[in-house]
Amino acid sequence: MESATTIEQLTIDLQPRKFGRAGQIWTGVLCLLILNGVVSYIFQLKYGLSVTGMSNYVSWGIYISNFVFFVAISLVGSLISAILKLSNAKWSIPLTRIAEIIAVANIMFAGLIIIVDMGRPDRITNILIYGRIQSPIVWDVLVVSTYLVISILLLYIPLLPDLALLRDKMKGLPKWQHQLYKILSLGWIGSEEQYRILHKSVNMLAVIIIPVALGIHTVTSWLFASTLRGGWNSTNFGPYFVAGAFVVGAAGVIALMYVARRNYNLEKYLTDDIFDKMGKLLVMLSLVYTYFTINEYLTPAFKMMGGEKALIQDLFIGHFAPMFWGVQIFGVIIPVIVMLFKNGRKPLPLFIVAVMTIIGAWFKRYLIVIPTLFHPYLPAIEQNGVPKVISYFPTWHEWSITAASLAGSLLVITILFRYLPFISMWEIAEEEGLNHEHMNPIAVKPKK
Amino acid sequence: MVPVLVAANGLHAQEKAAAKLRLNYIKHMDGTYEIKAHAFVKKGKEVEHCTGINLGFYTDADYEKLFKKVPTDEMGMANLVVRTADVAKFKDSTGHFHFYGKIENNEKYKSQEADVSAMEATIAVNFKQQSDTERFVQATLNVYDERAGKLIPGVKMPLKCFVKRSLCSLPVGEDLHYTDSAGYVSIAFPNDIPGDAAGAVTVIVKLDEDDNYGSVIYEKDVTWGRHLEANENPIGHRSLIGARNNAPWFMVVAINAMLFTIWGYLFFVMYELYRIKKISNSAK
Repeated sequence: MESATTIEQLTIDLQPRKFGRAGQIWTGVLCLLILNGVVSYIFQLKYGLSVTGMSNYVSWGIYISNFVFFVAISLVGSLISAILKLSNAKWSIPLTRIAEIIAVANIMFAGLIIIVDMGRPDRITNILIYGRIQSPIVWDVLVVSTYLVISILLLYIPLLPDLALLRDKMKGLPKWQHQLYKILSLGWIGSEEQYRILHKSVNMLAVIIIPVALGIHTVTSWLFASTLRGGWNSTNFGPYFVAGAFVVGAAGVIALMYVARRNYNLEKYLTDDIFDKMGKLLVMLSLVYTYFTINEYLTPAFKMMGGEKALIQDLFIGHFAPMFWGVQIFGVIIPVIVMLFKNGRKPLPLFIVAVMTIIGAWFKRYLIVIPTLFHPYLPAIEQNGVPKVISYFPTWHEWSITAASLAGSLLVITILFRYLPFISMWEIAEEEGLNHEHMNPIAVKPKK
Repeated sequence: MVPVLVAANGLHAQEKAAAKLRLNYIKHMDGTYEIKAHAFVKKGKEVEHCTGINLGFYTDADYEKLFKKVPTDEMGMANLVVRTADVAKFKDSTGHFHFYGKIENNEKYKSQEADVSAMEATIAVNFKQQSDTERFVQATLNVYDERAGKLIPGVKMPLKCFVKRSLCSLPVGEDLHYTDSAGYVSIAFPNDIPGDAAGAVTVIVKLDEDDNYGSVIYEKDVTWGRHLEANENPIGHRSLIGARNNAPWFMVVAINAMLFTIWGYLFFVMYELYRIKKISNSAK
């Protein structure tokens, strides 16, 4: 009976709930941002990429930096669901589903923002029909698609017991929602055989997602590093991008944890101790990232050779210096300093630090993509011999489409939070020692 | 009304520029005679080409017997080509050719006349190959002599020898080769001049802008060049920069192996989902 009470309590605490006023306003704002972005995209389809600030010289803009950001933040799925799980970090159990929701939502929009960056989205099939296997862009398409499928599976498969719990125990559901849980739960009965298959499948996915996740962001970095451009032609880019991805992914989980804990009163599950541990993890990841950042800039700055010289000057003391130093100070240094102290790892300060890190990470991707394009190898000269000024600033259309993509991923997260238990009930129950019969009363008893 | 007409006339009565006209005579040994005309205006140190105007070519000094009109191109050049059958119209009783050119009436430039005269000259060339490495261009120049009234050997006259190239000509041997008393000169042809895929080169022997005979050009293709080995097509074999169907084998195998392994793995996991469903169904 005590076990049954616990599972009931878990279901009550962690089941999806209707939005209050704040949730409705939040959803409304996201929908408006998306609608605004759709209108801008229609403009872009009609008038072409001339509505953006991109040009012959700056041919990649905030769509691409946004793509890199989405890919980066989606890596948290592998970090929490796989690396921490396989290393038996039990404290991370409440975070796995949040991490996978973030991963799925962001990798979806990574794919979509790339299509937006194409002036002719109808040519997307050309990548399949005419794509060259030697091309990093083809590798990126393959690995992003693969990671999306793995993330969806890693979100869905561990959901099965919880969907069954919702199907059986959640009261007052609309008929369609009950039916949804019924279909998605695949008739889960919670037998030992099913749990065995579930554990095996989750472990298999946890193993495979690690190389694929490392691959996805390494291949994304190779889109840049396989060129000869100053600032991109670096052997450091693979680990640099992966390290940065883990930082922003961990910060994303922290931010979402805080929002969930505050809005759903989940102090019992998203404890201060979990925040403390995530804070320590974020500090470690940030220090590793700082190491790679120093590597990335110190070596070309020491040589100040060729195209790198102008770029380094631009970043350190020139046009991009305010953004560059802002990112380093407010996106990395201050967060690390704050998190080194125990009080800095409490939920609210950690949330603020996480938001700073995420914003810094977005602008860091801007600094990776765009400044290099201001320094082409062939000099930019007008026909009359006057040097052409290369400039780029995103237009209103770019900002609204980018905001819509960010709002879209947040909307996907919001919807998944609304209808799915974002903390794994069955895993917490297992961790508390409940056997499967208590979790699913209609479970088939094992044959004696 | 009258003041308006006067004003209108005044507006259109622009002063025409004084253009210059230069004519060059070239005889080709394939039987054509060419007059290269250049019409231009000198403005200080700059030259303005007279484009799109008609140049008239006449056979008489009074500019009454028009042979042909030729328009100038964007460089102010016009070429008149005269076949052997027609060249007699330009010949006088002394054996001289006279070509008269004139800038025809136009809005921008004043009429200008020019003429060029030359006598007949011929170049005959024999290509002698003594061995694989010893080859000679043997040229004989004959020029018209007024007193003799016929062609005689051109003695101590400078000939140039070239190989034709895309943008300019490649000199063969010395800058100038002087003919002997028989009007003969032998020019050693080098062994290392690149030709086309068949080794063909175009050899030119030229009497260049002589005061009496103008320019005379002999041109012929001979297979005395080095065979040009076509560069290996960089995208014609398997490489990183190859076409879609020319990817390196290691890449094709590695990437496909990874894809099959990972997706096979994923399909197995999806199959496990099916097994979960099957267990549920059989329990019911």
